[in-house]
Amino acid sequence: MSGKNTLRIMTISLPRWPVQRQLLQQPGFRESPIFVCRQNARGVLSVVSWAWVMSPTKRKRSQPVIQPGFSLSEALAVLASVYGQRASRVARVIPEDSIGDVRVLEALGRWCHRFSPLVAIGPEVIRGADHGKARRQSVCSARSLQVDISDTARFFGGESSLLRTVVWTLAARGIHARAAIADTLAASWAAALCADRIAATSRHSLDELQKLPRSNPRRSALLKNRVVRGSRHGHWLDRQQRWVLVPPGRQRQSLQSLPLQSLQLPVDIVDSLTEVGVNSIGQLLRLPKVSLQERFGSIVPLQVSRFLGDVSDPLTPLHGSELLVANHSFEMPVLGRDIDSTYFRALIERLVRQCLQPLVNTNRGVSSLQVRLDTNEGHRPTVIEVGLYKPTVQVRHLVDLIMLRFERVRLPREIVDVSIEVMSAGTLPYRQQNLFRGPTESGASRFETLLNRLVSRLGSGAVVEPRLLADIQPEASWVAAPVVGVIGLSKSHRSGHLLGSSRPHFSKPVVGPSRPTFLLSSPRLIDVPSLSADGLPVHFRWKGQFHVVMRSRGPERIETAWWRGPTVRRDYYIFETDRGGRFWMFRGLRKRSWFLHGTYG
Amino acid sequence: MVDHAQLQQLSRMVSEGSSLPGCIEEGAGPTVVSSGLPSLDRLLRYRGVRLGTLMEWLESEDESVASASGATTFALAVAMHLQNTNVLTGCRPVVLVDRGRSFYPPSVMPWLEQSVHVTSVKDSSPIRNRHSRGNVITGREEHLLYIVYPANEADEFWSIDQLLRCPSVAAVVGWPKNVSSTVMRRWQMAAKSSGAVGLLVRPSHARREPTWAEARIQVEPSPALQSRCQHAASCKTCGPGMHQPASGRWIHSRAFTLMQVGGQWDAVTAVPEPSVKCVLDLARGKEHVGFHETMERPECQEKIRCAS
Repeated sequence: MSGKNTLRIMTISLPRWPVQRQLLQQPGFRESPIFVCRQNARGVLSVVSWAWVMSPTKRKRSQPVIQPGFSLSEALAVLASVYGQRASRVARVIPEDSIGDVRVLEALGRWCHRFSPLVAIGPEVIRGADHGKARRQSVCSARSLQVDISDTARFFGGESSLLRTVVWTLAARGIHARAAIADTLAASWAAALCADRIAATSRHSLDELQKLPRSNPRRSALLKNRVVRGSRHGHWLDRQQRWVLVPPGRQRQSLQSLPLQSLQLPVDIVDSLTEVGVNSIGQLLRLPKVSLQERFGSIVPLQVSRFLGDVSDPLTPLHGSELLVANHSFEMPVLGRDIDSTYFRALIERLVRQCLQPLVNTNRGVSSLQVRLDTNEGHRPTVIEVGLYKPTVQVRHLVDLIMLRFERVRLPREIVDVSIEVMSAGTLPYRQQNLFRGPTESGASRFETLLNRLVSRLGSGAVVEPRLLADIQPEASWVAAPVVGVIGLSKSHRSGHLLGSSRPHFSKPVVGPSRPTFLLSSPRLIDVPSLSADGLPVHFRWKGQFHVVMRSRGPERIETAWWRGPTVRRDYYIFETDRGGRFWMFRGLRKRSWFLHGTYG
Repeated sequence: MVDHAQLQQLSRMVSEGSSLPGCIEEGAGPTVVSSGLPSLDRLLRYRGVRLGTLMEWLESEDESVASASGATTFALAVAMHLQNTNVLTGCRPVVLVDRGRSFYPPSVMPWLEQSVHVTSVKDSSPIRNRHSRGNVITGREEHLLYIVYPANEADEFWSIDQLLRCPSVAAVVGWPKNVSSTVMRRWQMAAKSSGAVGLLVRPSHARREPTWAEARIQVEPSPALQSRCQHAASCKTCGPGMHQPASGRWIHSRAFTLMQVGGQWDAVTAVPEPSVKCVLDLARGKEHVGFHETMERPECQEKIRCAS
C-alpha cells in the first residue's frame, strides 16, 4: 500500500500501561479492581490508571467513569456506585512506578524489532485532573511505541496484515494494544490514541455512504478517503476496534475529526482553543498558522506541521537494540507429533548456541528468550518465553529450560519454522573459579539453576521472595516479589518502588508472635453464641466444633486512613482455646461481628 | 614450578581440610546437626537432625485446631536453624512450597534476621563481615526465604522433589496432603543426594500411612504446660515473694508436647512412642532453655501448688 520513498510509521498505543504492566507481572491481580496511584505532597493518593479485568457477562452496561487524576477515594466511590461496596473493598492499590513502566516498555520495544530495526518510545499521553487549575496535575496514563515500517511492511503481507499481526500477537501475550499506521509520527500517534473515535466517525461515513446513489461523486470521495479500520473479525464496523490504517497522504482528511488532545498540545492551549469553539484537528487546520503563532506561540504551528509532515520529525530509536535471532526453516512442514525429541533438542541446542555466540564475546548472557514454532499460514504460532533469574550463557541449562516448557505445551500440528530470539541480555555475574576442582558449579549457581527450572515450569509469579511493607493492614503488610521478571527483566532491573524498598517508611512493619502463621485469603465470619461482659467471645464455633476461649490478648486496633482506599476498622485479638489452638480474630468496628483472619499453625 | 603430583597432593590436603563438621562430603557418614531445640534433639534417634533426610510434622488429631496447633511453627523453627548449619557455605535459603497460598511471612521474619545476625557474629574474617547477609563464598546478596506457589498437586510434588535435590537449599518446608510411598521415597532419595532436609507438615491421619521420613513428630499444643511455664517465668523474674501478672506476655511463647510416632518403613518391632515437653519462644524461634530447671525450684513448685 505504501509507495516508494514514503515514510510510514506504525504506532502501538498501550492504554492504561501502568496497570497493564502490573497485570503482566502479577497475573493474580486480575481478580480484583486495580488502581495505580500517585501520592502527592499532602499524602493524598490520586489515580494514575485503573482497570478491572472481568468477563463480559459480569460487566455492567454503565461503566464507571474514573478519569486519571481522580483522588482514590473519589474513584472508589464511583466504582462502588456501579459495582457495589464489595468491589471497592477488594480493590488493590499499587503505588506508581514510572521507572519500572519504562523498563518494561523498553523490553517490549526490543521485542518489536522483529517488525523493523527502527523502534522508538512514543510520547506519553498526558492528562490533567479536573480539579481546577490550582490543583491540576498531569498524569501519564498511556504509553506508546513507534515503529518505522517504511520498507518492512511488505514482509508481513502488507500494512493491514502487519497491524493485525501486531495486535493479535500482543494480545496473546496479555497486552491490550491499539495500532495505527500513517505517514507521520504525530498522525500515527493520534490515530492510534483515538482509534475508537475514528470508529464512530467511520460509522457515520458509512451511513452517509449508504444513503448516497452510486453515481454521486461524494460517494467515491468517501470511499477514497475512508479509513481502513481493523476489528477482531475483520469487519470494519465491529465494536472491537483495535487498529487504524490511514492511507498515504490522507491524514488531513482522515483524521480531521480527532480531538485536539491527540495533537500533543499542552493542556492549557487545548482548553483555550476549546473555549473559542475549536474542538477538532480539522477545525484547527482551517485556522491560519500566522494567527495561531501570534496567539499561542510556535508550539501550535509546529505540531500542525509535524502532523501534516511539513517538517522533518526524526525517530529516535532505542539504544543497544541488536537483535539476536537464530532460526531453522524446514524444507517440508514437519508434523509436531512425529518430531523426534532427540532431534528437536539438538535443533534447539544449535539455535541457542548461535544466539549465545555474540553475547559470550561481550561478556553478556541471556536474561530471557523466546522460542517460536511457526506453522502454516492461517494458524497461530506456538510461542514460549523463558525468563532467567540471572543472565547465563550455559547452553545446556537453557536447552533444559526450553524443553521443560515444551513438556507442558502441545506442539502444533505442522511446524514450518523454529526460531529462537534473545529478548533481553545482561552482564554476566563474576564468579570466582576454584583452584583445584575446576569449573564445577558453585552453590549459588546451582540455586539459580533451580530457580530457573521452577519458574520455567510453574510460571514467573509462582516463585517469590517475601518482602515486608510498612503497612498496618495485615493483607498489605508484605508483598510476594517474583524472582524472575516477565518480559526479560532480571531481578536487579525490577524497581523496588512496588516492593516498598524505595519508599520512605514512616512506621515499621509489624512482625513476630503477634502475627499468625497462616492468613486466610479473606476473613471468615465466625459464629459467636455468647459474649463476656467486656464483649469478648466466651466460646465460638469453628469447623463444626465449639472452642472455649481460655485467654485472650487484645485489642490491637487496626484502622486505615480514609485516603488510602476502603477503610478498615478492626479490633484484633489473639484467642487461645481449651483445645490448645491459637486464633487471630477481629471484631469489625462497624457491624461488631467477629471474623477469623488467621491461625497460629 | 609446581608439578602435577604436588598439585594433586595440595588438592587432597585442601579437600581433607574442608571436611569440617556440617559439611557433607560424598562417602562420608551421616551428618547430624542440632535442630536448635534441645528437647526435640533428645527425642530424635540421632540426638539431632540428620542432614539429607525427611521429617514429618503431624498436626493435632483434633481437626478443628489442626491448622492452629503449631506444627508449622516447629517445622519453620527447625528450618531456620538449619540455615546456619554449614559453616563453609554460610546461610542457605529455606524454601516453602505453599500450595494453599496461606502462609503469612511476617510471623517468621524476625527469625530470619536473627539467623543472619548469628552468621555475622560467627564470621570473624573481614571478608565475611562484608557479606554478612550473603553467601560467603559467592559474595552475592541472597534472600533467605523463598516461597513457591504450585498450582496443583503434581506441581507441588515436582517442586518439592526439585528443591530437595539442590545442595544449596538448607531446608524445604511443605504441606503435602496425600503423599504416596513412591513419592515419599523419591523425596527421600533426593534429600539424601543433596543434604537438604525436608520438613513436611501433614495432617494427623497421615500417621496411619507408611513413611520414608527419618522422624515423624506429632505436635500437640499443651495449654496446661503453657500456664505453668508462664507462672514459673514470672517467679524467675520477680523472685519467690513477688508475683507479677504477665498479661499478654503469653503470646510470646507456646508450650507443646512432641511425640515421636510410628517408625521407619523397615521397622519390624513396634516402636515405643516417646514424648517430650517443649516451650517455644515465638519471638526468636528458639526453645525456652532452662524452663524445666526453673520449674524444679522449690519456691516455684510451692507457688504453683498455691495457684492450683
